[in-house]
Amino acid sequence: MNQDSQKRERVYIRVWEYLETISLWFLFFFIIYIILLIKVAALDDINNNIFFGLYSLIITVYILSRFFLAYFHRKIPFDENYQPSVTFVVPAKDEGDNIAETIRRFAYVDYPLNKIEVVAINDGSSDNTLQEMLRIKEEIGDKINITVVDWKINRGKRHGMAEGVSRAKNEIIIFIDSDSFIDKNCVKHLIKYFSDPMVGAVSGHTDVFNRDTNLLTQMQAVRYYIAFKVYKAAESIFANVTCCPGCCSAYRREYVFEFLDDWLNQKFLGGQCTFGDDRSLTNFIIKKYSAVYSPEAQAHTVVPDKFSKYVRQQQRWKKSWIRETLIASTFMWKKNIVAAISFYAYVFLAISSPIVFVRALFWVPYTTSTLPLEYLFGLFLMLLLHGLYYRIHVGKRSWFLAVISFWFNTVILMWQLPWALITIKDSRWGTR
Amino acid sequence: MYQDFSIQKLIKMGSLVTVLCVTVFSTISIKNVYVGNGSIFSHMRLLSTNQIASVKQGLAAGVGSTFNAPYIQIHQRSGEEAKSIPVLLYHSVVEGPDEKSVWIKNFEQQMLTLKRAGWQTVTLTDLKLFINGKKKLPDKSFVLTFDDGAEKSYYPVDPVLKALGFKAATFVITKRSIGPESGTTYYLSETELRGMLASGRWEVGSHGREAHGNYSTSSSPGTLRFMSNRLWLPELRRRETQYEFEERIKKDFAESKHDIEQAFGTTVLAYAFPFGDFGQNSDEREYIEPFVSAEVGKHYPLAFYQVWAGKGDSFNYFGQGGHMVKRIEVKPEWSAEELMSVLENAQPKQIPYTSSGFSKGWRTLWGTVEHYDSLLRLSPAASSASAAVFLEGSQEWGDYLFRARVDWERAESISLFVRHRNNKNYSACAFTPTAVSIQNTVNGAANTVIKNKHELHIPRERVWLVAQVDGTTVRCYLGSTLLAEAQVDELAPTGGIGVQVWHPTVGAAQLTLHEVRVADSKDAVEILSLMPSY
Repeated sequence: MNQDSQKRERVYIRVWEYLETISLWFLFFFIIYIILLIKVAALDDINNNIFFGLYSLIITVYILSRFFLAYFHRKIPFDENYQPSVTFVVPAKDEGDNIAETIRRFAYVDYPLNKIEVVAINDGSSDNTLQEMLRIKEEIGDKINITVVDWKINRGKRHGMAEGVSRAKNEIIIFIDSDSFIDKNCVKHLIKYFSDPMVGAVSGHTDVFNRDTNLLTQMQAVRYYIAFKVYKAAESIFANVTCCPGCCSAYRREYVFEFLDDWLNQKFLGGQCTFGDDRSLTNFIIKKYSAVYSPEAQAHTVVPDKFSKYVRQQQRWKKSWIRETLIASTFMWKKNIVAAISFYAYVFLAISSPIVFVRALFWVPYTTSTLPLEYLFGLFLMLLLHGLYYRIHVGKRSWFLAVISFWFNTVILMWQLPWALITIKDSRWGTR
Repeated sequence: MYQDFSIQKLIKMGSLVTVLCVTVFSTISIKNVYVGNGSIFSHMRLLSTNQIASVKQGLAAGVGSTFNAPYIQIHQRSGEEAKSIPVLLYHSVVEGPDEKSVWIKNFEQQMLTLKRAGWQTVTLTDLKLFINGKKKLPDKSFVLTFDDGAEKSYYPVDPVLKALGFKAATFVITKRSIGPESGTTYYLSETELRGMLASGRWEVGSHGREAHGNYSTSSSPGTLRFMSNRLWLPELRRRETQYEFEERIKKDFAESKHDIEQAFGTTVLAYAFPFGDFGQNSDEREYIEPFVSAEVGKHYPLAFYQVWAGKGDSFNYFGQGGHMVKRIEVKPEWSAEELMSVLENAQPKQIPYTSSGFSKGWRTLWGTVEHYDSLLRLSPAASSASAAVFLEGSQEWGDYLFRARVDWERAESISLFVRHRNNKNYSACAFTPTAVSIQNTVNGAANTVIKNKHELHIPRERVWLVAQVDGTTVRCYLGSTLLAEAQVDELAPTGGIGVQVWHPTVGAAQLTLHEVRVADSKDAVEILSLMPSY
């Protein structure tokens, strides 16, 4: 009797979840429908103002195309016969809380441990990072080979990464941030793509570790998820991922060696480049080779949980975006045409967004005494789409609140790109 | 490349995209049918401003519920009957200040002020019966009309009407709002009009089908009005004949009426002349104006036109008869106070009447009028020899004694108008330094009934000129001295007062009015006995 009622319950739950998924998907496409309706109905307005009309059209097509392309992304199977050797490179500064766990995870991956080595760089930390590194070396040093490099004075993440590359003896280098944690299967899913000699870099899928801390981290969880699962996948179809992030990415050492010096000594506007190391390295790689995204290579990273920290991080990212996008623009046109169009479209959109924003939120209301409802509503719908996608794939995680937060933050931080442009010569990290 | 274009995925995505396209396309088509082509956003915006405004209006008017508009009147209505009724004309109502259209804020204030002062709308049917003397209406009734049938004449307006319990009539250009060429973002669509009719707050009248365009003759392409010109026929390379002109006018009247009646199943009671033009300014007005005015009455019980100076009062009187109805066009720059003052000025005046500073109702017939120090100065236009004013609201006066105290500054002749219905129908006592005559103008034809010489000395300042009209007798006095008396056969039974000044030198005439007093003709003897003699 008990078994039967349990069975029934399970059936009910399954049916309910199924219905829930169906209705969420329905809502997802309904929102696309509304967005399309608005854009098609507003087509005549393009004549009124070509620039803003085109912007509106392009951004809709761009975002919808990301979902469209991501749908066709192909996963490749793991090949037992291809198991190259791996070096983990972990530069760290003042990360005493997390570094031990980060490194510990390397010893428990689902991959032959004798093919793994670790290079951990203590980059002038003022806390107990070095001690933690040495401690973990003691703990798991018998399983895998760990080298701890100690720099008393901080040289910067890029130098740390470069040091790791120079000391690495194995074929594939995996960069992991000092506050990121990989899953067991991360390595094998990163590695499998390197059987293709064109592949120079692979980006893993990184989710937010401290998702449940507050609304800010939940919002970032949505952003990260979509940025990888939708946007990187759309790029990966053409093996043209523009940024393999430093929190979890793999590079072929042989190819990295080709530009190690150029990358290390990269200058911009007369100054040394001190951030955007991952984006910069990816740029060097894709100029000649390919970069792909591996949706199954799972890792988690800690994100800022305070707004001020978050704003600073976004500022750094915007500055490196400006620099690296300029560089990438010089060769992206040689790539697959759809990839190239997507890239340049994105550049156009990113640059125009602050202009459109100012016009919609200040100029238009001022001159016509109307509220900027269409703009804010349209923005909200787009972000709702992202949030729904997240909800469908990940499950209930205050997704709607996260969408609202996302919307808020987009509006409030729209000034960051222009500000980044103005302050681009300032290469300080701010407080990390 | 890392692409997976398997058949399954392609089919799934393909069908999704197809479904999306089909639904989007059909929604847009349906929307086009219902509310016309044009941005869905502007419709949504209009609708939402409509809703928001409903709430706002409800609160502003102090009403309990905006969906059910019961209302609290601030001023009790007098309970008397209206002697005359104004018809207000608006076109579109716009969001920001504009030279051509009324600002929403002004419109809302105007309606609210009218309501609080006790004004209430009446329907076209009521107006028709009132004009034909068949139904009495309460004092401070008015008719609210909107021309062109633009969306902006409905969406910002309706919430106000709803909140205040007003009704209105919209005059649509049937080509733009009904039928295959209809439905744009600018004009209301059939569906919207149907909704308006169903709400009970709106009536629909005709604003012509083709009549609202600009047309051409060979000499003036694209600038002529439909109603008042024989147009150029390009295929035949000549101007219309009179017959063709008449047929074209008849067709527009008949067809636009038919368009509306067929689309909505209502009876059309009124036609609003585009531009207020019924041929009165036409080059060939002698036959066009009477033809058009007569023809419209064969199709419509009511025909609206905008008043201009000289046509008499701007209100419509009980039992005035006919089908031509005057409208006051509300100018974009008018505030609520200005509208109220226009209406007050035109309110019927009572006998006995005393002008208090000439502030209410004294309107120029021609020339210019200045007010200063509670006096009225009359002077002609630079190229004209005369100037005239009349008192709006005096049109229904019958028998009266009209006294005007003037400064005879520069005038060869000063006339007192009596029984003035319009510039083509009135009588006058004309005073010159040596003679007094009684003149009667009927349908524009003036004739002198009697002319008497006199030898009185007329002072320069503060001289009393008096005219009396009693039945069909007109009498002219200088102070207490009777100078002329005559029976005027074709004298209009009622009409108002006015004053004219004339000087042979162009632009030279000048007259200052100190005061005007009008008393009942019965009291003439008593009053005259108190007048000075010259």
